[in-house]
Amino acid sequence: MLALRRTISILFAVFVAAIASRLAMDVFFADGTDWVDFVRIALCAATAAWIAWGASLALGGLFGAPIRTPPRASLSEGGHAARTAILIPVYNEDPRATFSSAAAMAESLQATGHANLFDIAILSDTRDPEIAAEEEEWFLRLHAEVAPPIGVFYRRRTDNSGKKAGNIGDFVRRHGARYPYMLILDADSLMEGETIVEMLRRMEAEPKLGLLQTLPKIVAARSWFARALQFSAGLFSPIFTRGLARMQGKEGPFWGHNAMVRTEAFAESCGLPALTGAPPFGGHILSHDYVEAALLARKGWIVRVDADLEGSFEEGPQNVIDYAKRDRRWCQGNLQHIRLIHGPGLKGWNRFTFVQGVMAYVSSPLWMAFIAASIVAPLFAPPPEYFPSPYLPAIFPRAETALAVTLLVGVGGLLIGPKLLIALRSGITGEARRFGGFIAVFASTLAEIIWSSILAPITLMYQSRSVMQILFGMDGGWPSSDREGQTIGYGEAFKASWWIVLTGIVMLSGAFILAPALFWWLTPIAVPQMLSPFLIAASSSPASGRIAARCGLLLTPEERERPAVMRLRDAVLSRWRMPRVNEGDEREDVAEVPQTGKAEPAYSAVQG
Amino acid sequence: MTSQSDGNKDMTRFLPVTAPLPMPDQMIERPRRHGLVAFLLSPVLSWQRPRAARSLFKG
Repeated sequence: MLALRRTISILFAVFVAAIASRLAMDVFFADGTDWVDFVRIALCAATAAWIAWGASLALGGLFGAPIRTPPRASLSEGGHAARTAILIPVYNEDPRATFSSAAAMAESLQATGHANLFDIAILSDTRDPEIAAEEEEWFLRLHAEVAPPIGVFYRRRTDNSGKKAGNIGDFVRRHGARYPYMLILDADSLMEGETIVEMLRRMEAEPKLGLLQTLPKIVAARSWFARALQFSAGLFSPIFTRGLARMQGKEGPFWGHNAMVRTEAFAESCGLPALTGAPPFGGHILSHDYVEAALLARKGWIVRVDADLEGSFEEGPQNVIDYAKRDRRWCQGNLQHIRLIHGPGLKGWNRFTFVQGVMAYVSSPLWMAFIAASIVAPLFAPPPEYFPSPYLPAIFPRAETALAVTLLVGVGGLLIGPKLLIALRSGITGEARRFGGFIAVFASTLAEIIWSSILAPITLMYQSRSVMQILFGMDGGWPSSDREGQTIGYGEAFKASWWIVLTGIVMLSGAFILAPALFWWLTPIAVPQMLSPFLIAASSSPASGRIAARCGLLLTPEERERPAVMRLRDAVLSRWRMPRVNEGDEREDVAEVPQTGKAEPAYSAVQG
Repeated sequence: MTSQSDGNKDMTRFLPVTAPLPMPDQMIERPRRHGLVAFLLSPVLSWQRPRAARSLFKG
């Protein structure tokens, strides 16, 4: 059944590529046949196949049979065998924001009655001494906040070898035997205690389950840009993930956080050496999560995403620039996987996942190449032959506009259609009520489609640049995430996007001079590019987000009814904003915690 | 729960009890020259030498 689903999806993508190629042949050969036309057809086929693949995931999520709830074990039977470390790796993050989330999750776990099974470990890779000092200061608050039996730990590494994967690996090597399970989070992750316990039940019920991934919902969006992303992740992503879950079988994804792993499986499978050679293709593996999922599957462990698990949250970038920075890192990580596609012993689906990850970024320069080839194509076209036969009247080449429109509508339909169907489904199932009603969902879906269409030519350029930088050997390094986000000023936006403006101008000018028939076709791409500084700046402000909220657009269930763990975090933050009473005494208390003598020798930036 | 503090009573870190678990490095790439993809991409990948190494060739 699984093989059938995969085959149907792949055949669907191939079929769409074939149809697109056939239509493209008619359109591009209308003015004669030349080699540029064949390049355009190949590019058209590749990009159409990629879009069709995405649509097939959505269709699989929309129309497949319901996914059965996986088996669950009673934790009272498991007892302490289910001891779990909640790992929060941090790297130059805002400690108050991260540690308040940890405190809220601890409080949420207390309410489940299973708090005795959990410890929280903050694993710092922070290099900035000021932030490191703040981390220690805020950790005292966290320590004071979290009541037993949940233990709270903190450590900072001197060297960041292996980056985030190395940080987790370091914990496993030093403390892993104490915890049968680890819940791996990000600095901006937040999870309900009930969700964590439910994951533990599912892990306990399936001894071969090596990793259980949740689908985190994006929260805390303030700007228009972030709210659009948040709405999209809230409404569309669960359906796409359900489609993915039906397709992946036991070789599911790991997205690096908000996932529970079986420590034994992780330790025996996921020791990641650096790749041979220098970055960007060699060195430490940046997108380690995909690789870890593949390595777990290679050893026979099940890797699964359960799209039905609610209560899992993360924050997203607040503006286009931060989104592009994150994308640069992911792009390098995914392109690195080219080295692993042929890795020894990997399952076929995992190899295909690597290809998908590569295509997610390579498709952007392919689109750009397609546009560029279309603009210059008339230069290579053979001169029109008006009298192919001396016995016939003159024949004028005709533009196949109707076919070109059909091609465009088909490609657009594959991009937009699934979103509209998901919105429609939410109305039928009643899920739309959680988003403010069907009218609100439909209006928000239209707004999201229009916005993402306007934004696509801009992100296309950033992704194309990332791919080119990597191909030219430029390493993006390991920048920390700016999760707070900032309002981008017009000057800053122009500085970050002037080259996109220039590309838009060159594109339209080139079309006007070389291929006037293409001019109007290219305006939906070139005009947003020429307006990119304005779009980037305007969509980054909290005011833009407030406008959307006032119009009732892009609302999510988490905004309409704040989840319990978020309310707990709000309460923690409000407590932490107040000056501490007897601060000196509290420090004394911490220092006086009885020492067991079993503590590991220190390792930190202080002592090396 | 265990804690440690240095001589100045400033908390430097908290750590759980040591419980080592081996995590051996895995074999994730085939030896060079044997990988088909590596072979096909060798013109690109060999061009990916670090900039410092490239500058050596330029003298």
